[in-house]
Amino acid sequence: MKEYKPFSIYDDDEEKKKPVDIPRELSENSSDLDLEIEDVPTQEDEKTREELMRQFGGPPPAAPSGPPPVKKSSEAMESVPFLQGQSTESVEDRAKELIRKRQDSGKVRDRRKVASIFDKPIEPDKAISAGKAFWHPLSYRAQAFWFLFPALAFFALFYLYPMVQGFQISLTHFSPLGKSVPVGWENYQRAFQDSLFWQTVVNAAAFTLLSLALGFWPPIVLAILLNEISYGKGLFKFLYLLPFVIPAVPAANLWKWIFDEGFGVLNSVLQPLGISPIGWLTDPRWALISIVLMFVWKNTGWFMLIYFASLQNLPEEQYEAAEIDGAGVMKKIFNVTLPHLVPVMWILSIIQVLTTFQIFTEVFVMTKGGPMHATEVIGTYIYKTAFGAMDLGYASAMAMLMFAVLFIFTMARFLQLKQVSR
Amino acid sequence: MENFNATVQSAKPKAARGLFSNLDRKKKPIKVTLILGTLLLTMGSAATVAPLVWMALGSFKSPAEIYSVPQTYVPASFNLGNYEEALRLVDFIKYFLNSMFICACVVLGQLLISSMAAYSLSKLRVRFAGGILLLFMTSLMVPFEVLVIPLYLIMKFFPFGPGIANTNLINTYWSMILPGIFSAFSIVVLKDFYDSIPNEIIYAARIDSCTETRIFFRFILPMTKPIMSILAIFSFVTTWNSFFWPLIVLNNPDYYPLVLGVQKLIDMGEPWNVVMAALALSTIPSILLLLFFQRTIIRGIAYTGIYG
Repeated sequence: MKEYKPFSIYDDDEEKKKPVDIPRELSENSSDLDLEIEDVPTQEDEKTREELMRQFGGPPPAAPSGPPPVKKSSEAMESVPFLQGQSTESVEDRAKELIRKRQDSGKVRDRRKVASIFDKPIEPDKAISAGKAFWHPLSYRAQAFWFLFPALAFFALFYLYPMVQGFQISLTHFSPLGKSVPVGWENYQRAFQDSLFWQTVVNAAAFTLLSLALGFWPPIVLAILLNEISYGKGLFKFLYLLPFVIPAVPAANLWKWIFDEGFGVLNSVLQPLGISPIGWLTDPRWALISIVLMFVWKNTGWFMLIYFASLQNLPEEQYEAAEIDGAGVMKKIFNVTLPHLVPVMWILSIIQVLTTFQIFTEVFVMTKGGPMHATEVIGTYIYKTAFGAMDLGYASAMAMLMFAVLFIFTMARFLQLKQVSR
Repeated sequence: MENFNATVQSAKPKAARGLFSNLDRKKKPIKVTLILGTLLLTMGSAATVAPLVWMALGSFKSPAEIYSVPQTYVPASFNLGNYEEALRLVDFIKYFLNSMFICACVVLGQLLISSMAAYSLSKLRVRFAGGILLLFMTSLMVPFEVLVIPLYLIMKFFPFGPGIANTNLINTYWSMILPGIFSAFSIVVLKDFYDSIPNEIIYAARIDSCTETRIFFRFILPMTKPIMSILAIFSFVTTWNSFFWPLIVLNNPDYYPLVLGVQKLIDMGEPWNVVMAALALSTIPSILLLLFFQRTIIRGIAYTGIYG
């Protein structure tokens, strides 16, 4: 191996004067034009040659009547004008043009190009698939495609196609068996004039804000505490995770019983405190708050563990540096711990917004849209419109509007995910 | 990223130091603070578990006890009559097996398809890999409500909706399994994992003239066991807990998953003590799952923090 020197760090002239050594392969055939003639001259070539001779001012081709005069090409060349100093063009130019023409005709290949495939070492990260065309089902590229194919097929059939179809349905008065009538944007206009639809949007927004207000800080506080204690971490994790793993249906039914106005445990606990029974799920003022409480109960443990996992990655040097600078506990929390958690807070807020806007099961089980539509959310309204009233067109239009409303948040989540997965 | 791959592969993550150094921990005010913190945590966990305890207590009560005002907190006797009643009313075993079957199919299908796709995107240098991954990730943006109506039509008139020759998949296991199989989340997570596997393993196998399929199933898949278990548990829990979709596509009790079956039992208007027994029965599998796979679930939850 020869040592490779990109440049000399010393400004010495010796280095410059050194003869440049040309690789052997290049220097050997430097006079050669590296052309390889594959074919024998055909009639066409002969014609080209004759034409060329005419251009050069040689003698005209033999008359068709008699037998062609047998003449060696070298003899003909002797009378060519440029050989006698009459031409303005150089020989090289003409020769190059000739060569270019022949190359364009496809009959002569550049030997260098052919050779290069074998000269390079075969790249180690490419499969050796000599002799298999790209369309062959076992070729390398095709194999890569077949690995991807099932996922692509499922994606196309169960995400892409429904998306497009959902938009199409939203533009019609849809009936699955009869003929659906295209009505343009009428369904969307109807949604904008539908006060119930606006009610669902307001409810969803209220639900999101309430759940953020009630459910944002507890997981952070609990995670910081959990990170500090020395014993019983596993037990606490288990207990806090219980609501997360149990299905939403039993959880919601359980809370429906707890919130029951007449026999619920919540009212019977509050009674000794002098609070008269509240219709948690039957009073329009309280219904939404009750569902938010249940939602916070179900998700706090899960969020807490995400914060906890993030705290595990906090380098301890940061705490040590803060201590050396004389920071107390509160300063450490506000200047080291919480800033470390900010990215996770963003992620979880986005997740919370998305899940609360799409909430269905909890509301459906506990209030079915609730007293006087006080807890009607987009999910339940779409369900009632589509599968109760069988108005699929209108329901699709509302779903599309919901998608539009959520787009900012989904976009934020999407960008975050893209950043992580690069 | 290196950090996170390391946490996945190593069984025990490094214990963090936390706010207090070991020296601080011996000081009295800090000891008191820590004890107060533990107390707060205990109260929080009590609030978390209390509803579930209430459910367990309620499932043993007699109708007279459960409809008394004020509530009696502890049942007079722990008899299993309510459970017998619940088991008599609906076929829990069958619902349980339905749920198990659906979840098993979804999990296996999802893992196979996602890992193959992720391997292709990560190591096989398929064309337009970046674009395809982005396309897959767009599916995470779509709320399920948008897809529900067209998906219902696709299931009713499989595969291309009404108007074209079709089969009705409503009230079959297929309608539960098929839409759950594609998961962009698993593909993204697995792709990241494959990116961290060194290429030399694959080169070595290729030099030994191993086919791509064999390389994947014999070398790559066994390496991804830790991450596969996380994804498996997560897709299992999601499928097990799903309610909206089965509510729409199933109305034949023969195919009900556990969650839907319990809801149908409650809709029949049974007294609350029987309902509590049914709820307890339907939560037991999930609690057992958490008990046995707690570590995997917690590691998976850390992933959701990373991947959103």
